[in-house]
Amino acid sequence: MIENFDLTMVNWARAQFALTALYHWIFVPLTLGITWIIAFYHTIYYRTGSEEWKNLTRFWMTLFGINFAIGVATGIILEFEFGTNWSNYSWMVGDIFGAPLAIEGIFAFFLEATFFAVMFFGWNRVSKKFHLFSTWMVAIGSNLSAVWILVANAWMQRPVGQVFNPDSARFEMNNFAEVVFNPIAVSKFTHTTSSSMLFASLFIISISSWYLLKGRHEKMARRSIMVAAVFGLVSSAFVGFTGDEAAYEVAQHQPMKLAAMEGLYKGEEGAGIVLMGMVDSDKKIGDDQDGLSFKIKIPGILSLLANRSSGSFVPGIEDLVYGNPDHKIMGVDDKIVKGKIALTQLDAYKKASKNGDTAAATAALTMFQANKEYLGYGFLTKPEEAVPPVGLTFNAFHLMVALGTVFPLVFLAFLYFSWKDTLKEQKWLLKGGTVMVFLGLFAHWSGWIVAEVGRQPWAIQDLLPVTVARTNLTAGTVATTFFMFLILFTLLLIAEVSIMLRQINIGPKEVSE
Amino acid sequence: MYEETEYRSYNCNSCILIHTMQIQQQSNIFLRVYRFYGDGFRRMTVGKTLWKIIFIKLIVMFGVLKLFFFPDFLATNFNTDKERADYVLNELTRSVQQDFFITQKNPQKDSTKGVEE
Ligand code: HEM
Repeated sequence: MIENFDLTMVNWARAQFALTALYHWIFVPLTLGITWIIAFYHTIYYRTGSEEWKNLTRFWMTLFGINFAIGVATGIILEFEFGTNWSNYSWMVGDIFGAPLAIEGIFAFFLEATFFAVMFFGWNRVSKKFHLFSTWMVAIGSNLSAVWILVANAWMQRPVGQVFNPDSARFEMNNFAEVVFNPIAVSKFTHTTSSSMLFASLFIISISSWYLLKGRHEKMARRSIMVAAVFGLVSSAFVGFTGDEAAYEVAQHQPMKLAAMEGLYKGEEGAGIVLMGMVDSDKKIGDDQDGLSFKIKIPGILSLLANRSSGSFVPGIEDLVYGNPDHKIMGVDDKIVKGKIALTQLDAYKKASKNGDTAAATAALTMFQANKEYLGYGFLTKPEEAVPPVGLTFNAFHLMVALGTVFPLVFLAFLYFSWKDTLKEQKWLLKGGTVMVFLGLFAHWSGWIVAEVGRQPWAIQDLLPVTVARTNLTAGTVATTFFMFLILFTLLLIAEVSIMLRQINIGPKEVSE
Repeated sequence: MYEETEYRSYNCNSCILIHTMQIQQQSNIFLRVYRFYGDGFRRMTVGKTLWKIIFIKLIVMFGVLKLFFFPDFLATNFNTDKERADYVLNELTRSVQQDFFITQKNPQKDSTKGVEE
């Protein structure tokens, strides 16, 4: 089946989606995170009445405004891609996400038209209390407007609260609460928002470090750093906590992704977590090689994190592909058989319904229902196709976690030297501080690579592979638009960076909205 | 703005007067909101450049990309939801229609052949 599809088109469509999503994800985490920090700065101004805090708040607001303006609507491009490149997928999930995403769009519009305007234009024009309230509403509202898209993504990782309608070829929502409170959605939302707060703290630290190195706007820079470092430290703790929760959910519902994240080919009891390692590119699924050419492991920890029990069994890629009867794990071969039954019966149901043969339609439907949870496997031709790209998933996961360990140390160092009042003398720290924003971005991108590449070959876990989710287009069409997006987004990024740099160069005092 | 206290201070029983004042109050609110936005936009410095970028971006996205390069495949190629559903169902079951299923290297797969028939 898979060779029947034009894989090149799928790969172009994947590359296009990855490109636009990663560009889009430069603007989003900064928006989600910095609005909270601005709300804190604004609150300090509200309480102290100090003009310096006011200027500081306005300065970061301006940078936020630039980021928001350049980033706004870049997400819509992803929706264009759904309709054009991924039309089968869009059709199949339309019932679940169409309305909520539209409501979210309207909500975001009204939020932006009201509270954003008051936040930016409200200085000395509305009461101080209402102004502060608006700033907080911008923070709350921006973060809330990320809910549905993350719920949608979580649903693709674990499609709960739905039933497949064989007449309309659509997944229909039958349990709203299950979809919204899908534990993966909860961990995704909390992990995304907390890591965005962390990212925004790094953004502020980077710019403020640069000011201190240049000897400009020192008071403002030190104050900004103080709040951002505390904020960053607290959010780091949340990131670790929610990341652990995310990994637990992955272990429970996407064991193949977890195995790829850890480069674990052969399952273990008391499995260790890889502290450091390198994926063996010569490894073939099913051979005797370990999969990691070098590794340092801490025993028992992976089992503990994955199952909350240090001696428990964590399945490896090969257990999941070939099955492991001792641990009651069904192999992909068997799932393929069930998946093909589901597909055959779906076809039989379709034909019987068309011919008005109710008895045959009912029989086919019953058989389909019994096997539908393996539907997606029916499109695979060999078990190894169920394995995601291990090297990329492994490296992205380890980069994210390594950075997640370094960031709190960075915040601590900034706090310590701020407290000692010797921050300006710590040139090494300030120089390191200026690049932190880029490391934060890499951590974010890595997180999405883990979540999305680790889910391959599925668009919807176990139910729909990306090769079937796509539209029947030629590779050339998608390749053309890929380069158009590359140019458009690069121009937007250049605009963002240059306007921001100009504003940073002007500094806080001269800044107006 | 007409504060509520001001409004009561007329202490008047005439419905017409109250009604006129209410209209005045409303229009003042609209006026104030209008002025708030208008002044805000006028006083913008960086914001002016940003608005230009937003407009150019939206024109490129909706006027060029969406219109010429990103048609909604199902919306443009089919007229009814029934046709769309049939098309997608067909896409899903294409493999079994083409009898890809009868590649029975694995003996377990034989057992399912009966189901197919
Ligand atoms: C500290 C240790 C961390 C752990 C244990 C962790 C764990 C995880 C896991 C397991 C996922 C995949 C979730 C899925 O597939 O559904 C993930 C995704 C993600 N991570 Fe992390 N992470 C950590 C640190 C960070 C840091 C420092 C950042 C960014 C500053 C970050 C940003 C993200 C993002 C943006 C995603 C994609 C959205 C999502 O799936 O939640 N993570 N993380």
